[in-house]
Amino acid sequence: MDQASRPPTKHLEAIEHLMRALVKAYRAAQLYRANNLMYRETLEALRAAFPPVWELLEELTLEVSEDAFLWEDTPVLSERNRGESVVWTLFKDGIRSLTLSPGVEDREIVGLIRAMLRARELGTDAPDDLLTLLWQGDFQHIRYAFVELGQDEAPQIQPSGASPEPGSEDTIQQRVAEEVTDMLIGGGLSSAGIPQPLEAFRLDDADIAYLRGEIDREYQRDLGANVMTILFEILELQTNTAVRTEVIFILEEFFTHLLGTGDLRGVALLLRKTETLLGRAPKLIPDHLKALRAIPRRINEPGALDPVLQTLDSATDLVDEEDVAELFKELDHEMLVTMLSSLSQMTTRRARFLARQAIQHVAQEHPDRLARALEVDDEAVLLDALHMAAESQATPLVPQLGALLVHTNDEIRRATVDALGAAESPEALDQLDRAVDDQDHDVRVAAMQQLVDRRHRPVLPKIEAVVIHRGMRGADLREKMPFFEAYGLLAGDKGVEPLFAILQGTGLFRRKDDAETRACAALALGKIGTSAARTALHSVHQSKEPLVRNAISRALKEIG
Amino acid sequence: MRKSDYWTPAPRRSLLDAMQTTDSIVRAGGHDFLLAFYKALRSVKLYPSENDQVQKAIQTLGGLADALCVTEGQLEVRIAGEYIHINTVRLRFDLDNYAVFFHVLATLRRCGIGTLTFSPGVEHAEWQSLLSHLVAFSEREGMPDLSGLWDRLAQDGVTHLALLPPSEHDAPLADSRQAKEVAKRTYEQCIAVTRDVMTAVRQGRTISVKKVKRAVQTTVDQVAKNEQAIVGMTTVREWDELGAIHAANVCILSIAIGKRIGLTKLRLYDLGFTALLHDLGKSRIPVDVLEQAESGNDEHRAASESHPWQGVLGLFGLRGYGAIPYRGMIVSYEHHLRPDLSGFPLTLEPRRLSLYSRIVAVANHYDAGTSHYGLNRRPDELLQELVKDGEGAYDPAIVKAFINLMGLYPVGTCVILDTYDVGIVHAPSADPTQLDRPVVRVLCTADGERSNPGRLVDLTMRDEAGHFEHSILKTTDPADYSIVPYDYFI
Repeated sequence: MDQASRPPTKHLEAIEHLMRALVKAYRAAQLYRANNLMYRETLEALRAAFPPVWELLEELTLEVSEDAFLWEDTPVLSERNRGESVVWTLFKDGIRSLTLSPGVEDREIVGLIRAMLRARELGTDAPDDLLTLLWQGDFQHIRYAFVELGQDEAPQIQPSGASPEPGSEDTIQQRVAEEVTDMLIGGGLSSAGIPQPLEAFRLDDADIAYLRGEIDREYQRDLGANVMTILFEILELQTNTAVRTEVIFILEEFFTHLLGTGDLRGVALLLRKTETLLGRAPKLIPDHLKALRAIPRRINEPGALDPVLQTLDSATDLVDEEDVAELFKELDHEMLVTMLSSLSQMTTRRARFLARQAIQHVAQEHPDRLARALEVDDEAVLLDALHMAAESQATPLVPQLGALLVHTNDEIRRATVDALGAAESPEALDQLDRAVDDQDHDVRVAAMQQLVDRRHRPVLPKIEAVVIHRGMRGADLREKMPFFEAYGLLAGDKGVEPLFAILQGTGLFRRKDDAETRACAALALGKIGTSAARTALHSVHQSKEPLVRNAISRALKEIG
Repeated sequence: MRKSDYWTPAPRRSLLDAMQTTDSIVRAGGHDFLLAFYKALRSVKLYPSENDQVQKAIQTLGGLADALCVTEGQLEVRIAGEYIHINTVRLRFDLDNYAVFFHVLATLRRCGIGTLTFSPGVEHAEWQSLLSHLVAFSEREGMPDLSGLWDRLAQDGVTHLALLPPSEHDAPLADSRQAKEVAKRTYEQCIAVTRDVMTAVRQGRTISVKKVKRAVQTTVDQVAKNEQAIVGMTTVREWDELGAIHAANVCILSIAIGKRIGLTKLRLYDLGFTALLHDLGKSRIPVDVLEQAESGNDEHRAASESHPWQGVLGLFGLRGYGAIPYRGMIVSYEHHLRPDLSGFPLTLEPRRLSLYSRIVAVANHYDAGTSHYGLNRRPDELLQELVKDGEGAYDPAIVKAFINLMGLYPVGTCVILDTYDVGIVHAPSADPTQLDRPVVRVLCTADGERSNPGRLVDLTMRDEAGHFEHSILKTTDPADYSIVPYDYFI
């Protein structure tokens, strides 16, 4: 290009500056989120690069080549590396020129950048390319010229090639005359007559209001639910086995799709509809019944839970409690662990509440599904599982719970005791019996209390050994008191004598116990509650020590 | 192009200033201005210039223009695609301003105007001159004559306004031949894509959704910019094994109805996509079964009537969708159902038919009824049938919208005029109040002479006494006159 035909330098400088700003903003959009400071700065710089161009041009038309933007045949941006090239992104999808006009910098330039970035990520078989995306952008200030790439040669619509019959002039006149005559004989303008006044065909205010409402309604419809209803109708009404097999296959795929897109409501609806259909049992063959029953269990497929949990956490307000319960009710052992693990990662309280409630529901319905969760190393998950086991009275889990009584974490052993207590089976009480000897004071007390609450007499010798023979020396009041009370509750009249001995501070080879221990013995006598116990308490009610005296009074009051 | 190359009516206001005026104020003012402009154009057309109504309309128009000029510094009315911009604000037409919007748009286009710029202080006489010349020039046949219009305005001493031709991008297609060419290409592409989809479903192949999208997007663009030509394409009603022509016709007619009821561009796409694939289920049924169903075989008819639900399954089978095409499935399932759920397929649960299903049902009924492979009925008869059945089978408001689109004598209808000329309806009247007075292409004159391509006669034209110059006497069968309507649209 000779110097004379070269565009003015000031134009080129302004456009080149704009192009550089565009590339920077494009790169920043690739790397950062929309609220990132760096991205916002590059965007501002891009916006600021437009006004100098608008001072010089009404609009900016750029020719798009494989590796450069050209303005009036002069490159204003060259990009050799296709991998990162803005120009190539446009060129490869057929764009050959791009025209930007004032106002583009307000919003549409961001839309253009986003469309280009999306287009870059799309594969050749994707449902979109840059052209479809730009069209969807509905831009006012961006125009583009393109070539259609990869379009097959469309068949051409040809004229009919019909030719008039020979000697047709007279024929035409004659036919017209006949038709008009027939019409007049037949009563006038019958075939051309319009049945109503023209005004009746105009869209009146009522029509307009109605159509507006219909358009709004169309875009508020739950399309997925509608299609699901259709599929279940087809399944029910079409009795052909092949058709039903296909519909069930589609339902399975549909379920997976809904899970993948985190459509909690859709998943729950599909599960409900499946259940309803199975309830109606419209003469389905065993294979179909089996396949339909298996659908809810797809929640347990690898990766199925992640998008669902993400939706649960991010759109909690839109999630219905019943939908969540419906969705998770078929969680298996493994997925229940995953679900429990995810509780701590949930950011919203409602999401945690809903998820926990759903798991709880599963645990109550199927306590055995907690088994795997009781074997995990993650102590937080384990604790959650133990709480749920306790709430669901998980009798089948006693062996797993028993194994946890040797866990190194006191809190876990304590929760295990609660869960075993809730199980209430003889096996569970036997396990609790073991915990009475636990190294941790809280665990011992909890276990003992659980056993006493259930009047588990086999533990009496163990308690007796601690309370009567060892006198609970070294134990603090918080432990002594429940043990003594437990002894009182389980021993009955047989316990009066040894307790009285402690209370009196007498006995062979026995030195006098401290006031705390004697007060506990008094309270234990109160728990025995028989006349022998009352007599024993009366005999020492004038004790000099206030602590013991108070305890005796309380015990007597309890006996009444 | 460089700025100095352009005629510049007034300094462009800074972006900052423009942004300080809220879009909503300009939009509301712009709508009022367009309505006043429309009323003034109609008054000037109907009454002598000294008539009170004309004077009042011009006064109102001037007042609204002045108000916008005061707010914005100047008033620019610009056509861009299917939109009218008032200064920088794009006005979107709605159901209740459809007629106004498109009348103004058509008038400006016919005069070759892309941008109309008013400076503050337009005189009453200047308005009068502009309006009367716009009416006159818009009624002229042939190419728009912007320079002629500008000369007339200059002669009348109009100084407060400037006219610009449309930008290259927005220029109307140079002539009807070019418009037809573009529409034909779109139509052919639409058919090709549909054939591809139908064949793919028959063969169990995957399809390129991108191509379908592009075809529908282009059709939406054509309906927006070149409605007359693309709707004219639907006069092709030939049989093709795959039903692609029917699908393309239903797609075009549905989009055009959607445009009439005020759907946005993106929603028109949704509608077009569903319409194009509404009969996809047929590609799961053997061709001979479909053919025999037409000839009355009950068993085959039952199989053929399975195509709505087969379409649902077929659409699930299409690979490559980012999202499941729910709307397409619903329309496929519902397009033969009536609001009371009679029709087919049989349903179990109560349902309210989708708006799009109701639109496609009307377009489908019309195209199938008038096609050569279907009932081969006259378009006007079909239209009257739609009106009569509208209460029960079809949504009456949508039928009305369809009539507003097609006129009472749909495009392609063969008519005998009161002059005994025979012709085919070329386009509905541009005046929405004259639904029974289309533009007719006269192909056989009263003395029996044929002409090709024939002359266009606008049935709204009146003679000096105020009587219509031509009227339709009756509709007729084009085959009786060896006329193939679609030959004149492709």
